[in-house]
Amino acid sequence: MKYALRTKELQKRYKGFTALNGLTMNVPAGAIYGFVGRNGAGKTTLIRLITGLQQPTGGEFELYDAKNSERGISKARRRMGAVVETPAIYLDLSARDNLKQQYKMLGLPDMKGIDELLELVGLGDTGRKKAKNFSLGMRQRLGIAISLCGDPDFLVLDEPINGLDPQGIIEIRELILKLNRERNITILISSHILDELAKLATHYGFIDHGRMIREMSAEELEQSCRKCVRMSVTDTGALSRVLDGMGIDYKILDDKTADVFAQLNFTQMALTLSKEGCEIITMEEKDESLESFYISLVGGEEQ
Amino acid sequence: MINLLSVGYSKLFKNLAFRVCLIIMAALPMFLTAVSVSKTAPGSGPLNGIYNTGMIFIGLLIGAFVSVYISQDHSEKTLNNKIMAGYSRAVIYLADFIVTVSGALMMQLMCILASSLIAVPARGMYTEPFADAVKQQFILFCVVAVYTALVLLICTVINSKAHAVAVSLMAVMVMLIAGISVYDMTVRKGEAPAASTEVTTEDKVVKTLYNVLPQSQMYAVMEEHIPADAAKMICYDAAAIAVMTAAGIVIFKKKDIK
Repeated sequence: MKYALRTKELQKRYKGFTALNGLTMNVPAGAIYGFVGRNGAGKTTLIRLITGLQQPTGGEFELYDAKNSERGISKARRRMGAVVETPAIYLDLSARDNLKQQYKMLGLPDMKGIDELLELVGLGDTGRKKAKNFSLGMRQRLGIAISLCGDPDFLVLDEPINGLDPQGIIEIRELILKLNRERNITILISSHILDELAKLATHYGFIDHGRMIREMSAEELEQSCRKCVRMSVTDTGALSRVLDGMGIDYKILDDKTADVFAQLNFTQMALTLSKEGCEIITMEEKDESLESFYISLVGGEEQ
Repeated sequence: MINLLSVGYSKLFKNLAFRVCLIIMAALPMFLTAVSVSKTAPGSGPLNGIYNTGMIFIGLLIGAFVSVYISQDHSEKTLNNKIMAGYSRAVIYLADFIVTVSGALMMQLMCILASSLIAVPARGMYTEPFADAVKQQFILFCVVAVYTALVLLICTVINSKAHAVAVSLMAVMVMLIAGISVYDMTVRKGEAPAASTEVTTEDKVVKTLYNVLPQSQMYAVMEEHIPADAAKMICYDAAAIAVMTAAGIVIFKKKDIK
């Protein structure tokens, strides 16, 4: 698998505070990687390190196979666009002038792509309106447009929907999906708004106290959060025979417990199991959200 | 570097603080020249060196404009775009220095132009040698560059825009007062009847400060036109610019940007 970003035991220590404590993560190329963690978990610190705003105090990272200690990292950074916390925009300039500045800075030969970018982020009709008069959502979109100058392969968005109204959230979500699907841009989104991330991400990284707790794909997460009935029985062997006979998907957790992934007719199930000499002790419906999954992960770490 | 300079210059001309400073550097010399013209009798000859008068407060204007210009890059986070674009911090710092020192030079040229617009039609073309005028302007440019390097260094150390502007103005003010004081001490010493020809340590210190401090250099140019220690002054300025710029780059390289 090809990776846009890989970090290995990355560390960042400030005076008396460790923000990243040996973080290892892998962002596959072409993915929308949801970087999940509570405030202060180290999400923004990681982004600052990979964007070159700060230097790690330990460990290393690779951006498109260029190590952070090598000279090639500057070139690799040119393949990356980022919005770190608040959008980096000139408030006294219009959206178009902001993009012109970025084009000049990147040394792009002409300004042809500016109109397309403005249309893409929905700022095509802002004219000479200065960025300081933009709404929060418009500024966020302008920040994304700036990060898209130079056609990056990798886009890093730090809390892109913070403070946005529902309409703004939908617009940013659609934009992110469009960029990933139509331009095949790898996207790393840090957020603590989990339900929103669940609508976008193809991969997840859960971080807490500067360490990666778990990395998984959206399929794996879906599997973990799948709606099921957790059954406690006297004999999981009998249960397994019955469920196999009924063609129902299930997962045996231990010799007395199993998760059954189907809507069950409890009476019929109880009768069938009884014929096999197995009794049902408890049955409970289980529906884990991304949020509760994360809480269980973090809680597990803390124990 | 060229791309950064291009961005820097286009931002400079759109910067409100720079525009206001340019206007002040036009209005103030015009006013001072008009006062001088009114105090001299018609036909009294050209007002040589009058174009330097408006330079007295250029340090404060540099303090204001450079600190606003640089701090804006930090507060609006546009500095991040430069770093993320892969430019080295040394290049970013040097580009900022070149752009701001060019802005300060434009203010200096504006001062000459504005004064001359009043002085030349009123009292005729200056009669002092052109080469001397160029030398004076070069010394003043060195002074301007020292102020710029100082303010740039302050803005690199201090993140907050309000604090950076305040500290820059205070630092320039201190330099200004120190320069005036040293200049005053030196002039008084020169005017006093020579009690003794012995050169004391205090004399040496004052003389060195006179040559080192940018504001006393400025007064020296205004009074003597070409100061006796002009070469020394230029060397001190070059050293000060080199030290402050090197320190600024080292600090900037180590700095964690937020």
